[in-house]
Amino acid sequence: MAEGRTRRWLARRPLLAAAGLSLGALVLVGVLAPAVAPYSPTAVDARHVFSRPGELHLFGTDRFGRDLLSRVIFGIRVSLGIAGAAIAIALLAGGTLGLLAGLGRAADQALGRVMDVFFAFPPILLAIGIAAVLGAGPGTAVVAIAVVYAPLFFRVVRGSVLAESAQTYVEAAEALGAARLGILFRHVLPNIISPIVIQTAVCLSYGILIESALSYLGVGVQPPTPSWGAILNEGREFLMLAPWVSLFPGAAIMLAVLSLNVLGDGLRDALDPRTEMR
Amino acid sequence: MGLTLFGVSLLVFAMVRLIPGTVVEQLLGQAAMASPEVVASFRRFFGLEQPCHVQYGAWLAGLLRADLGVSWLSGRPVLALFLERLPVSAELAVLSVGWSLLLGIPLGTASAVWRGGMRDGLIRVGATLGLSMPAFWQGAVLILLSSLYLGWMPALTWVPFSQSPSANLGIMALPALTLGTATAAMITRMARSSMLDVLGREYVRTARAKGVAERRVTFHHALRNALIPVVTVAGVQLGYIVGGIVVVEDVFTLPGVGRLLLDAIFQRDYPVVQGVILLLAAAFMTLNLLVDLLYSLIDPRLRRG
Repeated sequence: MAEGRTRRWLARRPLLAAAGLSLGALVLVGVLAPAVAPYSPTAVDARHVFSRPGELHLFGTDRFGRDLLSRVIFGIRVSLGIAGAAIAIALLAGGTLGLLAGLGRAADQALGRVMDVFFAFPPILLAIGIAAVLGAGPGTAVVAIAVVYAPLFFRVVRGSVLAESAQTYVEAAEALGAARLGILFRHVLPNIISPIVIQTAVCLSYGILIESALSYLGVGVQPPTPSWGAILNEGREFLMLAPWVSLFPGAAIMLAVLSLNVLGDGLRDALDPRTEMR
Repeated sequence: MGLTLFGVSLLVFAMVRLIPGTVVEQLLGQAAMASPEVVASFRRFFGLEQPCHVQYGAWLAGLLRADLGVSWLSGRPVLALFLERLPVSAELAVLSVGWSLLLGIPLGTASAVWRGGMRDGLIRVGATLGLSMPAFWQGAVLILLSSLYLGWMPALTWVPFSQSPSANLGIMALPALTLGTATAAMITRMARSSMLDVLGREYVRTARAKGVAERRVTFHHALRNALIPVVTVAGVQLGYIVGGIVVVEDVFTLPGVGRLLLDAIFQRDYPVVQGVILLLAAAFMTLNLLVDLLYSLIDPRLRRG
């Protein structure tokens, strides 16, 4: 019965359903990349350098004759993988600290001051700075994105914890003699899952954008690893000669980010009762 | 604020300290392997043989005298390098924020007034698209389209506004369009939801009941109140703009602060990297402070507090 209700709810939101489907398809293609991709993403073919998109190569080839479709498909793994791993770390670290801020005024003040330092940097600038220091590479990109977004999760979780702490059930648990830490993890956490889920969807889309920006600028994933941003970086010199090298990976980024944004909006409507009424 | 600034300086300093391997060896490359004495003399020259807290203290003392150190490559003061490039980036930022506000607020307001209709739907889809486009890709597409259809190419040399306003704006139009797109989309969305919120309030209902014309209700009663959250979003977006400068200047090869930072990163010119990041963060914090001050201009209720 619950399934039927979900289906009806989704049927009234075709955009949300489409976003979910396209994201699911992207992930599936990424997971099955070796089986789905027509060529190896790094196979060089000197006879087909800069082939136009066509029958043999659906998305065309790059300056080494590598099949662009295969590179974009394998790029799903790199780009979504890095963004996913980074946001998972940010969620765990920022979320835990956000919960701990609910321990008391002193903890809240101390953690808040530290987070303020990170908020003083424009996100992409902080990521570029960290990447510049650690040296380009996929691990660097993960760390850079995680450091940028952990404070955001901290802020969201802390705010929700603060709001929940005034609720009667928290007072009741306190009156029953439960420890503060136990209350936070056992009682408050399940009640603040909604804002965390919404924030995760939004941050994932930012994470993909930052990863691709870092790789595009040359401080993230390095060639020949096929990250979407790195493919764009390789294509920029040949923009006029072979625009497809730049167009397709960019379209892939946009599809992923767009799906996550629509999904985030939909989750907000579904999970946040305040905006649902509008 | 003071504590945050201190933290920011510590973080920026630590960033460069954390570089794997020694900076000097990376800088010297082959020469470092050839002669340890050269490495040692370089380390002494840059003050790198001193303990960390001494180095930090010296760096901080320099900061307080507006001395950000000198570039390892050109030997010129970092602050001078930054100020030289600042006009390009500042103009880019102002143009981007300007057009995104000019477009976003009316679009968002219109979208709220046309709520649920076809035009509302179009604006919302457009805003979501604008939010999802990576700036470097949008820039590439714009360069491609304008060179194919308008014969426009990214300029090889930058022309200041004071020298030739038309040439300058011709160079800056596409970069500003690119940098402002996500902000315009964000402001449109915020203006719409904030306007919808305000239009449902009781004082709006009262104004309508009094027989105030709908146009006056929208623009006089509702819009001003709806703008407060929009200012908040614009403030948050400043972070995107200040950071986005780096990306957009790279795409359009503009000689701004962002280019300076990237060049310094690739040339391992760490004092420049350190200085530019610090100054951009300081600029971002200052802008945020100005946005806070702007609140009291828009919202008289905040003036007493």
